[in-house]
Amino acid sequence: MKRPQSNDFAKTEKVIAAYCHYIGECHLDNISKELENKKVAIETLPYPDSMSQWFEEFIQERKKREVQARRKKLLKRISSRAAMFLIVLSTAFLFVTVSVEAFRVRVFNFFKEANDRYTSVRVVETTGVVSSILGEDYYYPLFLPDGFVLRNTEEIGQTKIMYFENSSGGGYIHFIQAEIGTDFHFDTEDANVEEINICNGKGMLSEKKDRNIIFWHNEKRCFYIISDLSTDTLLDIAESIKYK
Amino acid sequence: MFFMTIMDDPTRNKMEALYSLYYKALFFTAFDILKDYHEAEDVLQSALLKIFGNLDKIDDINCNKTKGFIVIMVRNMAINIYNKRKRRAEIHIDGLEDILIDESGMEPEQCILRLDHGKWVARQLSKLNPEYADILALKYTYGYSNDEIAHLLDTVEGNVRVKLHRARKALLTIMKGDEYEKTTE
Repeated sequence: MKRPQSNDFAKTEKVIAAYCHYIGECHLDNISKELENKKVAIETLPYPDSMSQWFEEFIQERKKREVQARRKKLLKRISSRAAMFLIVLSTAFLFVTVSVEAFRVRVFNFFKEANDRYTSVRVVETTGVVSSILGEDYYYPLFLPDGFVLRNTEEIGQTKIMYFENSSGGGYIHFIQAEIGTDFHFDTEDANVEEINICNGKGMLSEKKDRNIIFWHNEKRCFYIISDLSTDTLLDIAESIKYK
Repeated sequence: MFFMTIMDDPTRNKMEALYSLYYKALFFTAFDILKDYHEAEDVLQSALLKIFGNLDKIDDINCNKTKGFIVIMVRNMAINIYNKRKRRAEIHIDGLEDILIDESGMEPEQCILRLDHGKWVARQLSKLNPEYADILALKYTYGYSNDEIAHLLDTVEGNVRVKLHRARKALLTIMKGDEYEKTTE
């Protein structure tokens, strides 16, 4: 509990402070009045040019600082938004890249260059990873027309060629399988060339009077069958290939 | 250029307005004390820098309160320079601690009864020592703390405390004086 004497002191102090506040205001009025009275002397006192110059420079300097400060503030605001945008974009890319579905879907571009005498075909894996044929692995057609048997095989680098012949009469089938990215040149002079869907992928069919060619690919390799058989038979052979 | 266009600068405009309105009066105030152009210039520059730092406390530029505030700053800074030039020693705080006792020497009745003579009292106080009236105004009218006053007037908090005490004592002396009794204003 406060002593009555201290309480009185606080009250007195409040009154004195209020009075001092009032005296202060009177003092300000007096200052204003004094300046009014000295107006002539104030106006006639030469004001140094250097002072005006200093103030001008001071204001210019403040302007510059203000502009710099605003610029920094704006840049900070923009950069934080840009950073946020980049983070979102990166996250989205990361999500798309590592998602399982994205890994499963492998997109191949089918480049075809038609010339007067032949057509050049190459399959390129757009992911940049080209699978390789390892060891003795190969694909083999489960369906062959009656009488056709394997007569010979050939391996040139990663390209494997199987030669089938009809033992009971004429006819031949050349089945070639190669790495993705291998260039193939077809004889398409005077041929009817069209794109077809085969084995759930894109392919190409070239029909000529005495020679039909079918070309397609799967995820690992591209295939090429050349034969004097009908295109329907070639399509059946192509659909039947299995990995051994 | 883009940034220049979008720049809105009320602070700078306020400062320019203040300067264009009071620069002559402020220079006169400093010169009146120092009687030296260069020193008056220095004081005015320092005061303007301080005013710029306290612009947020100034609402209305063209009023007695603002005019008084900046004149008080310039005057006290000029007095500081004058004192230094005359090699007047600053008040030594340790030696004056013993006088900081009679805080309640003023009676409330005296204040209330003589409200109508405020301007006369303020003038007498200013005549006695303009710093006393200034420091009372800064403390009680503007509501600055002792630290803030010290910063504004380029002095230390101890000096502000001593000057406040002396100002209040001087106020009491004026109010108790015979002249006061005879004055009608």
